Amino acid sequence: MENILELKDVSYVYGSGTPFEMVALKNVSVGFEKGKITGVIGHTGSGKSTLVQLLNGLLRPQTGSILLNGEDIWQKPKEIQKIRYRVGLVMQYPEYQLFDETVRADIGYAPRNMGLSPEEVEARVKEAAAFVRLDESLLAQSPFALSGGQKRRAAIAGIIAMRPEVLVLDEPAAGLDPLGRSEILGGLREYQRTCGATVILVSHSMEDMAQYCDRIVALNHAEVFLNGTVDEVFSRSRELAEVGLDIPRIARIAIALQKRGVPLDGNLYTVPGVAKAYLRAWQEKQRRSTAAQAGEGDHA
Amino acid sequence: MSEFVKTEHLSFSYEDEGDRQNPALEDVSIAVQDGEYVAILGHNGSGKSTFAKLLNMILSPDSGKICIAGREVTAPDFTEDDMFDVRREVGMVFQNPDNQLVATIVEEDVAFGPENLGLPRKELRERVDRALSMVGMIEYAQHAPHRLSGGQKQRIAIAGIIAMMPKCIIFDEATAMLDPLGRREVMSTMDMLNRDHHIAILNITHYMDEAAHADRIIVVNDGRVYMDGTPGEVFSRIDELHAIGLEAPQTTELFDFLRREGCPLPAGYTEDEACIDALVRLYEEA
Amino acid sequence: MLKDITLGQYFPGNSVIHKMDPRAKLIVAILYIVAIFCAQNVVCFAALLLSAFLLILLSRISVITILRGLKPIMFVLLFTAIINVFLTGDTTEPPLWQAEIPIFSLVWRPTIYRAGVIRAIFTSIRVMVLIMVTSIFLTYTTSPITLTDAIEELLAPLKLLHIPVHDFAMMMTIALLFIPTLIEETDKIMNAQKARGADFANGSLVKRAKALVPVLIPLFVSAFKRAEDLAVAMECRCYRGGKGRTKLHKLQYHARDIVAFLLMCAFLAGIFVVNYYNPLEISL
Repeated sequence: MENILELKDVSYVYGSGTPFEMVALKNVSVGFEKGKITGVIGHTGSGKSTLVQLLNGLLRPQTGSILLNGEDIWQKPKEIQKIRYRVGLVMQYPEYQLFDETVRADIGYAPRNMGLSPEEVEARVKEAAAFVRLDESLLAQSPFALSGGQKRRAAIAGIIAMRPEVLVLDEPAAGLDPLGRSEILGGLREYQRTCGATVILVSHSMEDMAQYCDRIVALNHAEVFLNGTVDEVFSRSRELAEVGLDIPRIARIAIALQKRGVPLDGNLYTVPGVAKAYLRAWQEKQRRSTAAQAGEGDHA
Repeated sequence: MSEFVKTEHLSFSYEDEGDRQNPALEDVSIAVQDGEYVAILGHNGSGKSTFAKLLNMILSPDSGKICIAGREVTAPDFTEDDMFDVRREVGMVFQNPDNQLVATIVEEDVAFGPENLGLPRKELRERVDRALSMVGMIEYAQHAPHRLSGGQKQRIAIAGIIAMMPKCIIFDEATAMLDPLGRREVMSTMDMLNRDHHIAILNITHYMDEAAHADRIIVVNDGRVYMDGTPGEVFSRIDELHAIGLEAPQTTELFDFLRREGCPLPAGYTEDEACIDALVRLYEEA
Repeated sequence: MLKDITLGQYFPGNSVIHKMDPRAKLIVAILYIVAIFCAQNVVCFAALLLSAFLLILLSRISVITILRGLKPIMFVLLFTAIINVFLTGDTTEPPLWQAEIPIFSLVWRPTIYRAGVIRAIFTSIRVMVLIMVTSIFLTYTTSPITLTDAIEELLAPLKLLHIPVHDFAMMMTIALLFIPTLIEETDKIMNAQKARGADFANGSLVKRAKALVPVLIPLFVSAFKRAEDLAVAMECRCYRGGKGRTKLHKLQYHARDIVAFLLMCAFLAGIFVVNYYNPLEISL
């Protein structure tokens, strides 16, 4: 598969040469597949936040390069703003960025900065609001009058309105309840499918990762630790646990069942996946024992 | 057993710009016993944060009664001094760890509450040291809180409350801004306080896995008490939980899925080990 | 980046000066400032330089750090020195140097007198020593919070006049507490708006000022939210002003504070004596 965004040998160190020196990323090379949702996991301080800020040019790598469609994003440093429109970044707790008088004006801030016509801005605002499932009646309200979950969605819409080729989100569902989480993450999947966009999702929730991502990149101590499909990564639960990373609770249960002799296969990191696998195993065992009983009956 | 926190027919509504009343809580009656561990569960906007604000007396109810530590805090003759007395018995831990620390050194922050109580210095010292050891942060006594992790900051906030020796601690979404490690730290602190020190815990949250730690779960929806029971009882009503936008723990969801497919499994399991045992047994008996 | 701004520049340490009571440090620093302004002759200024050097050694803060602290005032120092050199006239003495510039000399002839040079050197030393010593006593070795405590204690007598000293001190403490948080937050919001195409670095002044609106509004909203949260949290922890409050750490004077105070008094007295006798007869 083709990589839309690629890090080549990227390092980033904060406070280099001071007593507070901290290596955030060390010789990281990783590619993000076009049109896929890639999850980035790693515990606090593993370099995730630095990574997302490097992807859209808020930070400049100290060594190595970042390629967007094969071209170095820092080729022309003066035009880095154009890269930021193509790689949209939603920061953690993005509701803090809301400032304009109405939700409509706030979502339209980035499109206006891009120099689009008022009609085009309006079209983009409506489109973006629809993707995050924000009701059109809310567009005329003050962003400060919205509920917590609505604010979060309005802020995400403010980035989607740029129609970025790559959408990077740092913990977009943090602190929300299950309904709020599924509204946001579901909206993102819809955006990815309809627009063919690439989504990069940073999250601590392994359950969400298992449900929404195609691929996973795990970071540990400033380095890429695992990189593969969701299956590949979550099947290496022991290694993940060793570096202090979680796996979905249901995956832990599936592994325990396998250890105790229940043969499970297939998707073993979501509830329906494990349930189906267990059902298959259970029904197979029932069939065999009935067959065995029938067989014993024949002998008698 | 005595009731430590009790509300009777509590109602509260916010007024919007058009002077319309938006009911946030309607007819809420609950009781938390001395030393009990209760979770209040509800999605964002269910009225649970309004409930917390009523309990710590930031808001006062439109109608109904709140009694804390045997005093009626909604009574007309309830004075500032009474409020002071109630607050030393019921502590609160809030969501954002950065917005509840008041000093630049850990032990001074923990001392803030007891200092307000006017305790002599010797007792301040003892209480601060005891509180910090209880949450496992004694070796950080001289550190600056803003350099610590979210979970550690929250444990310091908890120590600041414990040092006032309350009989009940209310956690208002205290883990919502933490990473998984921080959440585990805070949850095990909560469990420890209840188990080893008989402090009543009221955990207001929307995380199912956290609610499962409690002895009793009160589910709030649309400003009303929707369910009230043990975790087993509440989680066995999985369809009703889904109907109000909540999820049951993954183990409960798994059992529910399998039961619908005809597996003879009981409802309401939440513990991983029990769940695994039941599934292995069922498989072996097939 | 904004994060690099460190307020107060406190360097934690374990030196004698670090260990001094902040109230004593404040008093001693004030006495020292009096000494700086009373110094009149070359022996006094030599004593000032020598004592400043001794204090640097005692504080165990690197000389480079302290000199770096002087960098921002270098321009002011140079400017006042030049003004002093050229504008101090003592016409009873022959000038050291006089400029000869055709035509311009009809209007003003820049002249340097011995007194001007002395004055320039003395004033420069005064400003330098002032900055070095106040930062050694107050900013470098005392955390802002401790300093606030000291001010509260020293101003305590004003409570008799119903001046809310405790409340002012609390306000200062909280302001100091939140400055790093707000700086971090500003950084975060600026990044978020940059990701949406905000440009803070280019364009006219008006344009740049306008670009700050999307940063300032969220910053104010969040600062008010934080203030509200903190107020509620403090009330829940039984805070009701300074009334009836006790303190975990009571500031206490130790022998070293008294010694420092006495030494400083002696130093000040010495300056007065030397001023009176003016041994080398070079003075202002």
